[in-house]
Amino acid sequence: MYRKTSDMQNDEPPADTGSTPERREGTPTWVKVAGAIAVAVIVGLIVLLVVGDNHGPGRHAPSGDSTEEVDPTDHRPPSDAHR
Amino acid sequence: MTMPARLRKAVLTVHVTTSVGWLGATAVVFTLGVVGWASPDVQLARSALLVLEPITMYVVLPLAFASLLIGVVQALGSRWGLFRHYWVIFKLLINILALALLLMYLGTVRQLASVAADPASSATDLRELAASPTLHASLALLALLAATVLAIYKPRGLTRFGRVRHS
Repeated sequence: MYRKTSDMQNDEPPADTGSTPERREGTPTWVKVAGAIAVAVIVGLIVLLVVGDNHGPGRHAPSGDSTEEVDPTDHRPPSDAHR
Repeated sequence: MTMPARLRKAVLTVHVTTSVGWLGATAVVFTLGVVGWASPDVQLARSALLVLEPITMYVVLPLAFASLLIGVVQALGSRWGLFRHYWVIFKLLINILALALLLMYLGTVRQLASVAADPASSATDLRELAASPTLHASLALLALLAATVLAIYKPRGLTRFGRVRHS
């Protein structure tokens, strides 16, 4: 399945001999497995991005409004209570 | 068109450097996310999340672009080609997907940095924020490791295009 160590050290494929086993064989098993994984990952990403809930920046913001500071020692009722 | 051997080696060197650099920078992002998520020190967690933005914008992103572009040049300039061998196609697909997701994630990184910069954000807020870059960086690490394994082992397999070209 994998090339010999001498081949791996080259930055070019082995010389073209015209009838190597690689040329005669069909789609290798690793390609079928990796292809299935790739399709599953891409479909999962599309589902997450399109069908799923908002995946934008707002999703990662804290749930509370951090801009509104609350003094824990302040026990006065909210202003609405005076209406 | 095949590049001359010396030029091919030089381009390959740049491609390996940028690709491994991208992997290393992603490992840094993962580490910063873990620090932001797990550190009991609020200032340390805040600092880790603040550093995420410049690391992503000025290190991870340029390396990702460079790795993809130089990888395409390297493939087209060698006998491996861009569409002749399955391992090259899978590596290209991983790089394109990782770069696309990175570009989509930039908005989140900016948002994380702005919330982390807000002194009103609590330790709980920071911990909640840090989970996202940790998860995304860990998935990116897996993808980039897979690309590295493909580049080193170069598993056999000619595409239909590759078989036609060689026949």
